[in-house]
Amino acid sequence: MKTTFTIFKLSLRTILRERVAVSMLGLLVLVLVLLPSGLQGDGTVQGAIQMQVRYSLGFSFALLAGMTLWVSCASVSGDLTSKRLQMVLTKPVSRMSVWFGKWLSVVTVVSLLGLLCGGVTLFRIHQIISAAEMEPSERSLLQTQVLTARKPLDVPPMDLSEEAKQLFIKQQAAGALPPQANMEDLLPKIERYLQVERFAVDKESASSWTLPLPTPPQPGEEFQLFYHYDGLAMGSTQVNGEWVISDPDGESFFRFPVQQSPQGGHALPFTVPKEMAGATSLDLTFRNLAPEGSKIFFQTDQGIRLFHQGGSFSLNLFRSVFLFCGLLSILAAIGVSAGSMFSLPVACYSTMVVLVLQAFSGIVSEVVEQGFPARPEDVSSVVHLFTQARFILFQGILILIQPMQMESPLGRVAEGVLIPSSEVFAVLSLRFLPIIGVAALIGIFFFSKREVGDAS
Amino acid sequence: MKRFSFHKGTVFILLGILCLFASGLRHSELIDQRKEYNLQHVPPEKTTPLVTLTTVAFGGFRGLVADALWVRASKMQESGDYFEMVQLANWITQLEPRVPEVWSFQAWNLAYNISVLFPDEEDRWRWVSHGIDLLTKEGLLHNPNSSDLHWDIGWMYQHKIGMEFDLAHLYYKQRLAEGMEKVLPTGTLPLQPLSIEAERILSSQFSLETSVMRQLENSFGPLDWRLPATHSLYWSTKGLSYPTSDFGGKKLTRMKFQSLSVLMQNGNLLHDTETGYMMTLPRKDLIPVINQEYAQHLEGKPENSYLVKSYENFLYQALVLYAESGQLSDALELYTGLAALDETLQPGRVNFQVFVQNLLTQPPETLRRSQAMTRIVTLLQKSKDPEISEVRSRGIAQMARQTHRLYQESRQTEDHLKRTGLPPFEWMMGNL
Repeated sequence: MKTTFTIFKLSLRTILRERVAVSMLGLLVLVLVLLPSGLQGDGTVQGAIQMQVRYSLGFSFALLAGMTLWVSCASVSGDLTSKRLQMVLTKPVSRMSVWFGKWLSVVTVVSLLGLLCGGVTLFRIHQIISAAEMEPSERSLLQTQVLTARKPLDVPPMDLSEEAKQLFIKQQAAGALPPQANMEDLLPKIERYLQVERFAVDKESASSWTLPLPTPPQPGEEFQLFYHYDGLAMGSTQVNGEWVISDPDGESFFRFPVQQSPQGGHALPFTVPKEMAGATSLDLTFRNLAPEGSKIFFQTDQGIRLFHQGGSFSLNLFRSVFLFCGLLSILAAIGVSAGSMFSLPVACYSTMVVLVLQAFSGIVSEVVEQGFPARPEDVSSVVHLFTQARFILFQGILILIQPMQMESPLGRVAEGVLIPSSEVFAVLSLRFLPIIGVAALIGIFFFSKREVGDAS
Repeated sequence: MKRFSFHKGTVFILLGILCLFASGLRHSELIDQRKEYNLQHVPPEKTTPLVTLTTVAFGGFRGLVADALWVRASKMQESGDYFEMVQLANWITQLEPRVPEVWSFQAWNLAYNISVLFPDEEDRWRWVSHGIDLLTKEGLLHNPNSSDLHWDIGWMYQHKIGMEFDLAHLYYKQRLAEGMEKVLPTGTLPLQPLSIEAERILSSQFSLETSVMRQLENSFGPLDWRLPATHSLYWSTKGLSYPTSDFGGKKLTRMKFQSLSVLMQNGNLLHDTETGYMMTLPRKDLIPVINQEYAQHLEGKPENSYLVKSYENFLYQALVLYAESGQLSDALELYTGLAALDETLQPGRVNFQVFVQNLLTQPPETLRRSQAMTRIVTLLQKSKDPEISEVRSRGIAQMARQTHRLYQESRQTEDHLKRTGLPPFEWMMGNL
C-alpha cells in the first residue's frame, strides 16, 4: 500500500510535468472559458442552459478523454522509454503496485479536472440566470422544468411477443402475408408495430396508460405529466385533445385541454389533491378530440412519463460528472494496461479504438437493433455472407461496449431529469469496476511478464 | 560525426526558414489570384474565426464533421429538441461557408420549418429572426455576390412576414415596424444624413446600406422601411446588381415588381405603438413609376415576356385603386392597356364601365385582407374629402363600416380572424 502511494505521488508529479498534459489543460481552460461565450442557443434562457450542459461540459469531457488516453498510456510506456521506470523497478516494488499507483494518479488528475469542469459549468449557468430578464412565470417554468432533478415514472414495458404471434397467425390465415413470410423475421417488426399502436390515439378516441406509483403521493406534492409527440409520424396538423389523470377506478383528478403543434415534449404540472393521496397507481388518458385531425402518436420510448421532485440540479450535474469520471477511469485502466504491454504509439492507438467505439456506441446499437439482415433476392450469397459477418462483428462490439453505455447523463441533466444516486453507485460498482478489474488483471499480468530491467 | 550532424541540422533549419520566407513572398500574389478567379470573396481578415479555424484545422475532414452535424441536426429536429438548432445551423454553414445552398437550407429550416411549430408568437418571431440573421449577418458575409441568397432574404420578408399565410404574420409585421421605428421614427429616410448610430443600427441589425436605400428612394419616392415589402424590394434590387443565372435573374426581377405592386397598394403604414394596430394606405403615386419601369423591361425585349402576366396583374390592381378612389379617367387608361394584353377583356368605354361596376360591387367577404384594407381606407379617405357634402360623406363612411363588418364576419374561425382580421373600424376611422 505504501509503495502504491509512493508510485502514485511520483506519477502525479510526472503527469503535471508532462508537456502534453499541460497543453491539454490549456485547451480545457479554453473550452471552459471561450466555448460558452461562442455558443448560440435558441435565444431562451432554457436553451442557453441546455447548451452549457450539453456542449460546454460535453466538449470538456471529450478533451479530458483525450488527455486520459495520452497520459495513461504514457505513464508506463513513456516511463519505460525514458528509463525512469527501470530505476523504480530496481527497488522492491511489485508490478501491481506500479500499475495501481499509475492508474490512481491518472484517475485523480482527470477526476479533479472533471469536477472543476462541473463547477465552472455550474458557475456559468448561475451567471446566465442572474443576467437574464425573465417574467415570473418564465422563471418558475425554468425552476420546475430545467433547474431541477425530476424523478421519472415510466409506463411499464409490456411483453408483446404473444400478441405479435397471434397477429401474425391471424394475418397469415387471412392471406394478408406473402406465403414465404417467415415468422421469425416478421415478429420483431410486428412487435414494433404493436408498440407504436400502444402509444397512439385514434381520432375521436382515447387511450390510457396505467403508471404504478412506487410510493403513494402526499397531498400538496408537485407532479408533472410529461408527454413527447412523435412528430415524424404526425406532420404538422395541430393536436386538439385532452389529458385526464384519474385513479384506476375512473375517478378523475385533473383534466388538461391541449391545443398545440405535435412536436417536442410538454409538461403539465399538477399538485396532488387530498383525494389522490395514497394512490398506488394512476391512469393517464389522452382523448383525441379533433374530428378532422389525424391519429396522434407519442414516442414509444419515454414518450409518456410522470415526474416528481427528486433533487437539486447541482447535485444532479455532479452525479453526471461522477459517471463520466467513471468512464475516464475505465479509459485510464485500459490506457495503463496498454502502456504496460505496448510501446506508446501502439498503446495510444489501441486505447483510442475503445474510446471511438464508446463514442459511436449509439450507431453500433442502431445497427444491431435493426436485426439480423435477411438476404434480398438481388444480392449474391458472398455479399450476403459479408453483410452477416459485419453484423456479427457489430454484435460482438456491442457486447463488449454495452457495460460502458449510459443513458445520456448530460441530456438528462439538461432536461432536468434525475440521475439517481443508486444508479451512479450501481453503474460505478457493478459495471465500471469489474471492467477496471479485468483491465487491471490483464495489464498487471503482461506487465509482470515484460522484461524491463535488462541491460538494453 | 556529431559535429557533422549539427552542421547538417543547421543547414536544414536554415533551408526550412528560407522556404517559409519564399512561400511567404508568394502569399500576397496568391491572395490576388484568389480574388481574380473569384475563389474567395471574403478576405481572411474579414471572415469569422470559426470559419478560419474549421477550414484550416479540419482540412479534408471538414466534410465528415459537416455530415455528422447534419445527422445530429436532423435527429434533434425529429425529436423536437430545438435548443441546439441555431448552433448546429451555424456550425454546418461555417463548415461549408461558400455553398449558398447550405445557408439557404439552414435559414429556411429555422424560419419556416421550426418557427411554425411554436404556438407562441414571440417564439415564432425569434426563429424567423434567426433565419433572416443567419443569411444577412453570416451568409452574405461569406457569399456577398450570391444573388440567390439575396432572393432568399427578400422572400422571407415578402412571403413569411409580408403575406398572410403564417398565423403570426401580424406580430412579425409589428415587430419589424417597432425595430425600424427605433432608427427611423416615421419609417422613411430623413432628407438629412443619418446619425452614425442610426447607420450602425441599420447596418448591424437589418444589414441595410443607406446608399442603396437612398438609391431606391430616388427611383420610387419616399419608402416606408417599416413595411416588409420595402425590404423585399431592397434585397431584390440589391441582388440584381450581382451576376445571376437566367432563372435567378427572373426570380429577383419578379420579386422586385411584386414588391412594388404591394407598395402601391399598401405602401404607407399607420402604426399605433400603444395598441399595436396597423393600417396601410395605398400609394397611387407609384402607379406611373411602376408602369414606366415595366415599360422599360418589356418594350422591345421579348426575353422579358415572363413579366407580361405580372404586368397584367399590376394593371388590374392599379385599375382597382383608381376606380375605388373615383379617378375613372386614369382607370380607363389602364383598362385600355389591360384589354390590349388580356383577350378576355373588350376595349371601349361601355365595357370599362361594366368592368368597374363588377369590381366595386365585389362582395367584401371575397376580398383578401390587403384588398379589404385598401377598399375601406380608400372609402374613408373619400368620406373625408372636404369637397363632398356631409350627407354623402356619412354615406361613404357607412359603406366603409359595412365593408369592414361584412369582411370581419366572413372570417370562419377564431384563427382565421386572428390571421386575416382588420383593426377595429373606429380606430381606422379615427386615425386617417
